[in-house]
Amino acid sequence: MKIANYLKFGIRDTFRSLLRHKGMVFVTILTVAIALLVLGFTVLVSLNSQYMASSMEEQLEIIVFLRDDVTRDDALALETKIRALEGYKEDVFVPKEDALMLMGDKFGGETILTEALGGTNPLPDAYNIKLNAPEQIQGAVNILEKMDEVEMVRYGQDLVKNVVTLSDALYIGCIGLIVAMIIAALVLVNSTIRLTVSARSEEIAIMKYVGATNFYVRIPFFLEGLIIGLIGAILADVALYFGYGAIAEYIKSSMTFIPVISDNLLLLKLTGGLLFGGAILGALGSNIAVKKYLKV
Amino acid sequence: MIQFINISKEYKNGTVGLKNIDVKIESGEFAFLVGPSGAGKSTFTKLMIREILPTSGSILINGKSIIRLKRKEIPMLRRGMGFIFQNYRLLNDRTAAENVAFTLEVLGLSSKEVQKRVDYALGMVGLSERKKHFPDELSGGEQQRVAIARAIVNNPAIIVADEPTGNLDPATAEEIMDILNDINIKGTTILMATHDKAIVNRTSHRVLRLNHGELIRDDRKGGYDFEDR
Repeated sequence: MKIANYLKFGIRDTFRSLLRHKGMVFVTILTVAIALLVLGFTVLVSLNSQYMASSMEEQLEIIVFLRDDVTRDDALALETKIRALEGYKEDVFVPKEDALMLMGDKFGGETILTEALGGTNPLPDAYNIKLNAPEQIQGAVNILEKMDEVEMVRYGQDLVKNVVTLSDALYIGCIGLIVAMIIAALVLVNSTIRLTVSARSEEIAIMKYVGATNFYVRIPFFLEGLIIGLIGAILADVALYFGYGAIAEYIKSSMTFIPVISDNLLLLKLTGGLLFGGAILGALGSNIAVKKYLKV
Repeated sequence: MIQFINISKEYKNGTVGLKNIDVKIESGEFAFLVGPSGAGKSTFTKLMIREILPTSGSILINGKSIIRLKRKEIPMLRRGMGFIFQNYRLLNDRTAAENVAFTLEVLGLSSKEVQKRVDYALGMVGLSERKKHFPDELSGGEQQRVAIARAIVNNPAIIVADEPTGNLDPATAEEIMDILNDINIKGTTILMATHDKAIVNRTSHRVLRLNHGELIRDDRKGGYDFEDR
């Protein structure tokens, strides 16, 4: 019964306080919303950078041209060795006939090309190989180059190096940026909540003088923090959801070469995470801020 | 009963709050705590409510040491006391009735019980008609009466009043004293720190005089300035 009355008074005081301190509540909600929005966008920019880097990595492949004197059977048998490469993901065998056909498509038809080449096909059989990670390409190339059947290996050496460097730098940079944004959000929201709680330190002191337990004092502040955090997070989520959607659409339609994540599930996970983060930020923030004034 | 046994309090900055205080205040007694600013009156009242701890000595309230109370036991100690402050310390965003109700709500009483007791306490201080007013709509004397209602609403055994008439004109101060005397007659122990010579001289309550943290006078028969007597 006592607990029920505590909660009843706590909930009543929470809403009374939210209504009576509208200005401070508004500023705190806005602070939470802005902090979470910036954090959300940082996460999305980071994820997109990673996505862009991995899209480039996806496109990296090793092209192995076989010697002209290698028979078709030997060429096909080579696939077993290729599959044994470290980090092997997939391979496509491109017979010389297909290669000619592909080239013909680019140069006005196979017949015209064959005629131009004097009726012969100078193109070799080849394998297009993809590995799981760009870091594994150099090692695979070294093995492939030593194989007797192999004439030449092409793999865009500089591009591989650049993509690996870019991907690593982006990963470290994004993690750093997200950590920095989380810290900034914590500091910003915590100092705003601390200000609002300090304005009510007299209320806390009087509660303590009349014999309120710390638990009783904390209830309305905890609930207020929770509500403020949730409202701030909802505002941030709405802005993020529609804002990101609009930006992603714009990039997709006007800058088609840039890969953009348009995964609704991911966005829902992120907005859910921010909602949870906002609630925790508000509730814990106000609880920590109240602690200082409980020593009466 | 309130008993200070050889109590000394020295603050971290070296200031001496109280020095070797031995005093016993019986249940139902009314005692004034007088002395100039810095004499140790506030230290005395803060020790009583366990806002601070003494450097040495022991404090017994109804025979129980309050020095050894655990932090979570302090609310129980305070629920047995009522406090009245010089600057009233009312919450400005709550009505008179809400300010008084506050004390009962922390006990977890039902709304109905709270309402009943608040009406009774406000009636006792003559403020039934003003219960829906906010502090800034009340005069100083009325605000102090709300504070008194808040202090007595829980039927405490002890009331600690720190300069309760300090901000009031003499006529209003007298009204407040009448209320406090009535409360005392009903059996509540009252310890009142004050500067107000006229008020002390008008009654024949016990006077404890502090100076530089020392108890320099304990007179059972009132009077502010013992030098004049």
